Amino acid sequence: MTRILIEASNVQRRYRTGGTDVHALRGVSLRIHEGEFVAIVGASGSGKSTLLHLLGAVDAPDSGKVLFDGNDISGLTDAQATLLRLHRVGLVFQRFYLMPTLSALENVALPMAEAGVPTTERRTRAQQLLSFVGLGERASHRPTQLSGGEQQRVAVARALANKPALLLADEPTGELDAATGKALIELLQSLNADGLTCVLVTHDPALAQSARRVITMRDGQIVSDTPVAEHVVVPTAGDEQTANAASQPASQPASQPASQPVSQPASQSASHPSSPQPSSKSAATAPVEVTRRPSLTPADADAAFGAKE
Amino acid sequence: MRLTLAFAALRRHPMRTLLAIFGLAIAAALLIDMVMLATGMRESFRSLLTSQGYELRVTPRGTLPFDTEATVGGAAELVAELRAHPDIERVSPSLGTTVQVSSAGSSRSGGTSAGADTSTTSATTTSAFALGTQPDVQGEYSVLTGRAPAAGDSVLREVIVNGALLQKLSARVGDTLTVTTGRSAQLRMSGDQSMVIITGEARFLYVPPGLPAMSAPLAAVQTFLGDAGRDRISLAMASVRSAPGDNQNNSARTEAVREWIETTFSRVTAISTETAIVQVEERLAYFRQLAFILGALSLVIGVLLVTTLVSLSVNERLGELAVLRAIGVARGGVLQQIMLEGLLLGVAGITLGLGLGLITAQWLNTILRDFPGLPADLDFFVWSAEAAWKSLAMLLVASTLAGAWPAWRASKLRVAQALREEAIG
Ligand SMILES: Nc1ncnc2c1ncn2[C@@H]1O[C@H](COP(=O)(O)OP(=O)(O)OP(=O)(O)O)[C@@H](O)[C@H]1O
Ligand SMILES: [Mg+2]
Repeated sequence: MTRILIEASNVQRRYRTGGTDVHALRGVSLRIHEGEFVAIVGASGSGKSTLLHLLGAVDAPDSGKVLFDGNDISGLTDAQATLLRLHRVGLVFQRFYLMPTLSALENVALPMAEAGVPTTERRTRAQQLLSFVGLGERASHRPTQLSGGEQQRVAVARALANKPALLLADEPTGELDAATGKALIELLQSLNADGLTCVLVTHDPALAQSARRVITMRDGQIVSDTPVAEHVVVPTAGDEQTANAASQPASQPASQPASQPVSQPASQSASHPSSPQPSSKSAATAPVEVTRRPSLTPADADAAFGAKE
Repeated sequence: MRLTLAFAALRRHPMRTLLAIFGLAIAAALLIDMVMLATGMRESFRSLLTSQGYELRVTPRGTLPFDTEATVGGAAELVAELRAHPDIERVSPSLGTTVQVSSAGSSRSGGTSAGADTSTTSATTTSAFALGTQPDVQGEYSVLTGRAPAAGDSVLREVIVNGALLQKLSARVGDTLTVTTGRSAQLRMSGDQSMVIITGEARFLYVPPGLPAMSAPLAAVQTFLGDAGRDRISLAMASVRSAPGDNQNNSARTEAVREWIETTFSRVTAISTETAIVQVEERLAYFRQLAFILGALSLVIGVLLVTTLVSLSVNERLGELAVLRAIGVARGGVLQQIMLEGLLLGVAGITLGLGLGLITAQWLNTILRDFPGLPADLDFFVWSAEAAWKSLAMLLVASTLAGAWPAWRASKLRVAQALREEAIG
């Protein structure tokens, strides 16, 4: 059994808007081990993004605890949380959110610049990462000169810049067509195969099946948490996946093993397939170290958590 | 990387950035001009008054410092007594008046060009300012060509004239002129005519460049005026013996001499050049105040411009900034980056403004110098490097601080919230 990377216990998040209280998370507990590939699914407004933000130290819970690598991150100062995000967390958003004025290479180099990586080193690594995501030739292109799928790949490369321990992706395929989305998921799968812990929020049940564990949320709570059977085949291009497909698992390709229905009772078990499947045929061409090895040096931890921790 | 981002942010809306820079440049130019104007007139007057090295101005009692019409009698005695004072080094008496000058064709001498201009046989007449001085001590003009007129009571008196007079009469050095005194050319009263010869061309420090002027030895001008000028002067400047470097003692001695003059001669007033400068400054105070207010206003405009532009740019990039923060850019990093934008705007605007300011100052200076009735050597806009740098530094600091408010707001962005809003909007 690998180590626990993230542990949330009874996490609550409330928003107060104009007198009404929105309870976005009502006591969520979960554990994510190193090397896992977790998909979070659920209806719109069920609290997926909120949870993801808490796991990535983008936001802090009102109550409950989030442990990152054994350290409580629920009470970090802004500066500490920023450092944690910079060094340990890679974030990918639904929209690509690249800096429109920077080239692909500069976008990927940005977090490294922030982390103080010397210029030549970060350029080299940024170029390697771009090659890794299959965009080695497009390094000097601006985001506007790239397709949606390409932009999202650049965003993934950027998320990998500082060799994070955790990759968080909030509906990364939300604005991509099915084939491009599938390719992106394959990229994430290959990263996961190399040991990177990935948490993916998606509306798309088919994409969720490419994870090895699916957490279903409803109304700010986890309603199911199930491992996905071995050998997952992502639906082929042309399948128009819609949100209501979530309630009709039968509509999925027959080749897919019976996926676990969302109605399954919630189980906080950490059981999940532990044998990483071989890297899928993604754009991974250049040998590049993309993930931080799970074991951290004390210096890493200091950098991430500040001297206080 | 920050610089790249800041540059890129400004380049994103080139037109908007250019307009802002241009606006800032105008504000900077206005600020520089106002500072130059505020210090310029004062400095210019000061150097004008101190350049000759006379510490005291002795004028008829009850007149303003620069009134050239009033005169005081008993001049020879007054000057002699002043010169006798042990602490007075030099005395330069002068008498100013207005005369009619004509280049009567018949009186043209030398014959060098007489054959050529038959058309000027009829006399050209102009009124001119005539200044009587003692050429050896005078501080009113500097000789450009020829030589200073010499004293002497020959029939043909010597004068030195300025370019305006030469031009008006199409005369040249060596020509003879007829000088008529009297209140007006039309009345031709008193009708005292003298023949004079031009010994040289001079630049008159206190005479507006366009005004015809001539200077002759004091005695000559006194004779031009006939009875009205006999033994009279309008101004005597005195220099007080001084020990170099001992400013304290020197000004005390000047003051002592000044008091002695005032008590000894009831018909004159003596004021020190310093006092004259202070009086001029007092008269210029409104000017300076206005300049400072306009300068301050341009500073405010510059600040508002930068704040507006940077705020605008922050507001339309909230999502981007939230992403920057989310991927690990520190609060301080965002703050720096946005403030850098303000700074870059400031640098660009000020650089442009400096050039613009200097050009407009020069242009305005020539316009104002042509203003009638002002001394030739008076500058309105004087380049003072210190004043300019100070005001530009002030503007630079101001424009950087102007970016601080939007930058601070950007750095306080609530990341999760902004990301969410960006995802929805
Ligand atoms: N800043 C906020 N202010 C007020 N309410 C909020 C805020 N953020 C989230 N919420 C509310 O919290 C709930 C959970 O939001 P969240 O964004 O986590 O849902 P989600 O599962 O990601 O939805 P979607 O699939 O549409 O992205 C929603 O009801 C939302 O309206
Ligand atoms: Mg969401």
